[in-house]
Amino acid sequence: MAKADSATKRRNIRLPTQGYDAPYSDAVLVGDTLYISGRVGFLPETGQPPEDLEEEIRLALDGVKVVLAAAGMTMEDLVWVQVYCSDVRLFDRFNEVYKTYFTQSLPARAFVGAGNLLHGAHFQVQGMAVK
Amino acid sequence: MKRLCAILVVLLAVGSATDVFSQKPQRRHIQRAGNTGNLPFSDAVLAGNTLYLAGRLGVDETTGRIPDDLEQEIRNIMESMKSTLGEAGMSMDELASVQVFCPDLTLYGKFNAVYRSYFQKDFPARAFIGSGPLLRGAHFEVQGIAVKR
Repeated sequence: MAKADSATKRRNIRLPTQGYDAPYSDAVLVGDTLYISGRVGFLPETGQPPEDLEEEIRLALDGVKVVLAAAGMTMEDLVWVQVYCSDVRLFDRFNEVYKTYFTQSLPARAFVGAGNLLHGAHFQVQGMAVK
Repeated sequence: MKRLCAILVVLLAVGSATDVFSQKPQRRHIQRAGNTGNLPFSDAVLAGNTLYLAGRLGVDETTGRIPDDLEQEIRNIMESMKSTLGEAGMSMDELASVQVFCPDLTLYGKFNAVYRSYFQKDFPARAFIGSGPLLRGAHFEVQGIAVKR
């Protein structure tokens, strides 16, 4: 059956900007479901998050957006999101930027206080999208 | 031609139910009645047969605070998951995967004692993860995915 074939069709997505031989795909598309890697907002030049927290958030979310686009999807296709945050006092500041990335319905989300994040980031954003 | 028309009619009937033409599983965003505060997430998203649940804290829904009693905090989490599942016509036994985030792993046993009482028979797959401090000083945040039986 064609349907069974399409449900198991799989594509590993690796952005050209990944820059080094990291042992993960930026996302994996299985059938209609896209599993997106955790993204942090850092500047490729410095390997550090920018001074400006809002810019860091935008860099992380822009990364999610670019990965979605590589699978022919948009932010509206996100169904499930985890935000790992090194300091949950930044909740409101994250939300202010986050909500500008959506026009209609919002994905289900967890906002989780984490330990130290890679690159000294304040946030790591992971998610799943369904076409 | 007649046969083609018949096939088209069947396809249209199926299409209206499952949205095969756009290749999209049906999707519904769930907001629970108790969800106040205008926060930027849905309590759950149903895509096809799969329900993606938001992370839940054990806040008292009338005060918005984490209760002093730890068991009550855990019950609040489980009850809100249950009611979110209920909004999608699902039950706790349809949960397939669960993540529990907890800043204090010494609470593992206490969590499990309450958690297990919410399931009839089999348990979902689960991760129990030591986290940093959680929102509102919560001891747990629980997120999960359920699939309709």
